[in-house]
Amino acid sequence: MSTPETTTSHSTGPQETFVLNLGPQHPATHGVLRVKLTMDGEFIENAEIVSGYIHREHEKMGENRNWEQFLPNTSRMDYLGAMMYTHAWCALAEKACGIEVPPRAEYIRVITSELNRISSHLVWWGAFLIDLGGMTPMLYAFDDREHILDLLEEITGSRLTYCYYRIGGVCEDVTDSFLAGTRQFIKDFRPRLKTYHKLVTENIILRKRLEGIGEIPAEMCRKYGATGPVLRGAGIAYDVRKAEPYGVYPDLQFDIPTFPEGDCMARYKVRMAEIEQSLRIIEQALDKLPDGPVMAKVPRAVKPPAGDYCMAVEGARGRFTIRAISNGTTTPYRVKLRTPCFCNLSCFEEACQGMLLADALALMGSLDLVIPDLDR
Amino acid sequence: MSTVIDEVFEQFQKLLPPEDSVSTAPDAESGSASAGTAGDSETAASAAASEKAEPPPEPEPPCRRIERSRHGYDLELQAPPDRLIDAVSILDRAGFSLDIVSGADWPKDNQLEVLYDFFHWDGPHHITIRTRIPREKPEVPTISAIYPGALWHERETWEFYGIDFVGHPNLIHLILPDDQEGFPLRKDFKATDVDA
Amino acid sequence: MVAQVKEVVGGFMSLLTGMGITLREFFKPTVTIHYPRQTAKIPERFRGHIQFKPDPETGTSTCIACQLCAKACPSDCIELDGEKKPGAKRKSVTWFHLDFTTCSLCGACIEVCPVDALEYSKAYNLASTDKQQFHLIDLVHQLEERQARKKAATPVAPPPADTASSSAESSSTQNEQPAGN
Ligand code: SF4
Ligand code: SF4
Repeated sequence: MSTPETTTSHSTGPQETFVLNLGPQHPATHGVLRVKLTMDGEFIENAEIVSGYIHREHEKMGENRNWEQFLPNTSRMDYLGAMMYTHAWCALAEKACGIEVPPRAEYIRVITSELNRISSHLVWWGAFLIDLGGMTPMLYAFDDREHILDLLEEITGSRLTYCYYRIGGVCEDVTDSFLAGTRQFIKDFRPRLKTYHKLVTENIILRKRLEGIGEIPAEMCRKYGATGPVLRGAGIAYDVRKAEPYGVYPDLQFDIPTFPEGDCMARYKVRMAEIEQSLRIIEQALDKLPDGPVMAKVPRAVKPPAGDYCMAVEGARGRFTIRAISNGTTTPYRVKLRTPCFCNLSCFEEACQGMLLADALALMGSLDLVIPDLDR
Repeated sequence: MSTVIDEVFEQFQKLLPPEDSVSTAPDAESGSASAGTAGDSETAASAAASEKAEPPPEPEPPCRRIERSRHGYDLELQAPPDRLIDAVSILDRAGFSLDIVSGADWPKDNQLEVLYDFFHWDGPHHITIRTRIPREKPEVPTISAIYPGALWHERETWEFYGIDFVGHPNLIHLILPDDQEGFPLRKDFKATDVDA
Repeated sequence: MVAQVKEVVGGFMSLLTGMGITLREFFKPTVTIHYPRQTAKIPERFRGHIQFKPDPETGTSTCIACQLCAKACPSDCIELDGEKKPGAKRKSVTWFHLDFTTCSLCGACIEVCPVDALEYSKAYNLASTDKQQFHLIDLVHQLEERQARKKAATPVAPPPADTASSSAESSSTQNEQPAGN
């Protein structure tokens, strides 16, 4: 902040810097996010994030409606991974009220959440590569994502902001054609994923562009609370699904992919490996899917006893925590939503110092930003 | 069962002994430490509870374990603002990662509350530190020197609750516009109708 | 030196592989649907704006104006009133206003209804230059219009064949504007 703000029209001397405005409308920020960059030539000296353009005050909304009514809000923060966020809210209320969710519903939640995770990673994959200058992969990714959206639309009725989970289960049972379609999708998608690796991951241009760029070491992740693929790309095997298991994740076998380099390439590889793991999880969940009801007996009004409640889930971008305070009424007293984008982006200011502008955009893309998730 | 939690619990006990229960009265930190309690080795500046502030509902120990299966976290520490940095340092040394800094408004007690949540990479360990401050003078020290990730969280808590984080290098608006008036998440905040 | 040569050759090969893949994909059939000449299949559970289910006998709504849906709605977008017609046991709805601009399609109203009077429509072609059209959709009015249209349509011609939805009822509502003005 102390650097004098000079305009670009000045000729800059060897020690002078200038301020460059990135955004709020910029394709690389994946939404309306503004970054004030203090530049020393092509190098970033200092970055300041200016956010809040899509702020909707979900936390206050939570204090003004009852526990069930907040459900649709949760799917509108990280719109690419809506299922996981709704899961967090439902699980929080279920835990607080002691509601036992039928196993079939839990398995359906896992299947739909993981499908949603794959679709989210596919969007990231396409968008990230556009940031880096590759147009084609996006079309491939969206083709496959379309299959997932069709599957989810068939059972939930929506394509993006699903409101499918309910406190106590899911609102409607899955159809047989959904189950068959999911199996078919997994079968078709595995070879596609191999093609992706051949097309992009091994590509020399991509590797040169990402390897060794934008390092976020594990210690920085810890201090900033960065989670998800960012943390796993720094070599730490932390995944909420394993560390604080919820739902039926403990019954399913999967690995936490980690890559120790901490650079953009490591984060890229983590996400690609996560897609494979998600496929594995879905396969197991489909095999194990029990019969039975999909909705528990829920009291007419959800009224958790007074107290503090926390629930964390693994969203597509990392740890999503809800911290709710109940005062024993049907309306939450306080809802705090801790979103992974917020924490992941907060280390950007430190991590991008001294980087080339073009590399910083690669770093930003590798964080997988969803701006409504940041602003809430 | 989980050793990290036990370790931290012990250290918290040393930092704030259970008999040294924290008063939730608004003027807690202005009061001088009373003599006769076990904590006489503590400095006078520490916010030991004055006897007369003993509230009728029995005082909770500052550090208590929480039932995870129900509440989703393991340990809770009620720390006075001047012990906050020490408590957070304990967690930092134990390898915890910053989860949330958030606030809550308790107009009935004329207090604001700051909540700090931490999680651990090694397993289901989640610790909450909470500190209550009077509404008239909502000030807590910043923890951003220990956890730089708190910089943003504290800016957010400041703009929504008006809690001043003393020592924060850059306490400016993060999410709300610069000309925002009032603190939206306080319970007495009235939104002006934008549709009108 | 050897490593460098290896990298150059390997890098070049990776580019060729990529080009080979794009070339192969080039000759695959297209997957794009050319809307509006083609339309996608609308699934059974598609969530359009809410609408009344017609009573199979009378063709009117079965809503008893109990206000439960209005109370359950998180977005406060339902307003309705009803009256007790002489001779009837229960109230019936007189007007039912849906503010579709704030509806979040959560389904709370549909689930809470004691007489199962509501359903999702399959209308997805909702576009207008006038916000007012979605501000206030009168479901009672909309049901009447739908019924009238159905009556007019059924004896003359079957519903258009390109709408892939299964039931005649839903396909007739697919491409219509929500508000009946
Ligand atoms: S779907 Fe949800 S938001 Fe829409 S009218 Fe019904 S209850 Fe209200
Ligand atoms: S809940 Fe059903 S019956 Fe009651 S007012 Fe709403 S639509 Fe009518």
